[in-house]
Amino acid sequence: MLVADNVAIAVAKNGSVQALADGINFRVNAGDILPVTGISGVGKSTLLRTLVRLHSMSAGQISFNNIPINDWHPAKLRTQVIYIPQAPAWNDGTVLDLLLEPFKFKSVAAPEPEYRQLVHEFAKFSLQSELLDQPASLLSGGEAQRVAIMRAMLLEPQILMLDEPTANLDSDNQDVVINLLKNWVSEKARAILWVVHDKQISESFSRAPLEIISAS
Amino acid sequence: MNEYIHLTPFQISLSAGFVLAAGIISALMRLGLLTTLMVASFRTVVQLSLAGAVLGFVFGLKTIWLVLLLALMMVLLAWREAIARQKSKIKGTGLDVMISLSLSSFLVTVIVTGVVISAKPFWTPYIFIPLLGMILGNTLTGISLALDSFVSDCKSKRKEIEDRLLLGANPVEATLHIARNAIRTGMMPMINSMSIVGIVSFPGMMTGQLLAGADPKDAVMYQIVVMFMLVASTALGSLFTVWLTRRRLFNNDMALISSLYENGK
Repeated sequence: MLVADNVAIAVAKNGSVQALADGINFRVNAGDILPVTGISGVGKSTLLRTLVRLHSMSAGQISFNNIPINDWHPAKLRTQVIYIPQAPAWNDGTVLDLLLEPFKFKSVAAPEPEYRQLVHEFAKFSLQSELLDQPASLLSGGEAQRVAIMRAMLLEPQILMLDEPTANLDSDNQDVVINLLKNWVSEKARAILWVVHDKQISESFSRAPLEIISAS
Repeated sequence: MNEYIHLTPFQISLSAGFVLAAGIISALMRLGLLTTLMVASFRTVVQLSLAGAVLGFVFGLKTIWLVLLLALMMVLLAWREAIARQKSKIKGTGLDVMISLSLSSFLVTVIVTGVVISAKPFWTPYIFIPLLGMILGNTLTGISLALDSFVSDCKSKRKEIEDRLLLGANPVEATLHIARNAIRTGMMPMINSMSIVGIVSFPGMMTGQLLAGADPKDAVMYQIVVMFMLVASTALGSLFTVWLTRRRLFNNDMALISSLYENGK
């Protein structure tokens, strides 16, 4: 599904270009969960941003479903490959408003979920459905993370890219989310890229981690 | 209609007594403003006399091209002012401001002179030039407020914008709330002055007409037209500016341009 071939990433800092990592190769097939590791600041988030063209790669080739990502319509690509940053910027509005907003975007084909379905989803993520009508800014870190994952799943992408999705969760909720994500991958032709520091979690996936190593 | 009282040079020099009073206060209080005050008073007399002479010449113009040339010069001066007020410089916004300012101002001025007032011809200098001047002054304020609000919000709220892009939004959808807020900001001064006009403030144009002996009914009707055309031009100018500038903040990848990420938050 998603293939990276000799990809290099760099960022601009104080007017000069600073190389982060190079020679990144991987292939993600349907049903895969690929753990992504590496020390902080090495460019894991930048790599995920690059995969959805929010950042430009400095070298290499990335393709999704056998089409180079640069040939995809950027918004269409982002409905199929969804990157969920570690801390979503929840702006004004209730949790319900923010859950439904993306379904109004032109490129999004997934149908807008009904309230009943959302209540059901909330229960699956062990979230209280009363949260739906509360201001999103009042969500705790752990609640916000789960709401963000749920919203991304409702948008029916083929690939989810997660940045430490269980970082703010207690161990019970961590298990809930990990199981939900594992089930999600196995249901259809789907895959996950999962930035993770916790060895215990990454070793529970069948694939060996992709380690990002600094170029310098 | 009242008889219009012509001022004589003697009456003008009487009013110079006010400057003298201000000068005496400045000297007694040691404000250190005496020279500045004198220079400023002198400039007032010279600049306005020159403007009067120029307007006298302009109002006598009989060809559309000269009037349009003058209009273009006015647009350029207004444009320079709008650009100078910008806090953050984004490449190319100068052109966007030029297009928005001239398009909205000319469109509204031509509709007002040609259709609403039905001047024959529509470019009759003594109607066209003062109206264009008023419209430019207000539109440039609206445009620079809207542009400033839009660019600085796109910088400070780039995380919000990105979150929308990540879920499949196009640049228009990702910045819709920021654009709305920017256009609102651009229109606010005009809407505020529409709400207080005639109660707290008497606009200069209406006051001028009244002093010149116009029937208050006429002066009021003209002022209503002026307020309406100003709000229209401000709204159009702000909308065009935000629309054009947005394209410059995104690249072909539908991502925010990298310079928005630099220079801190």
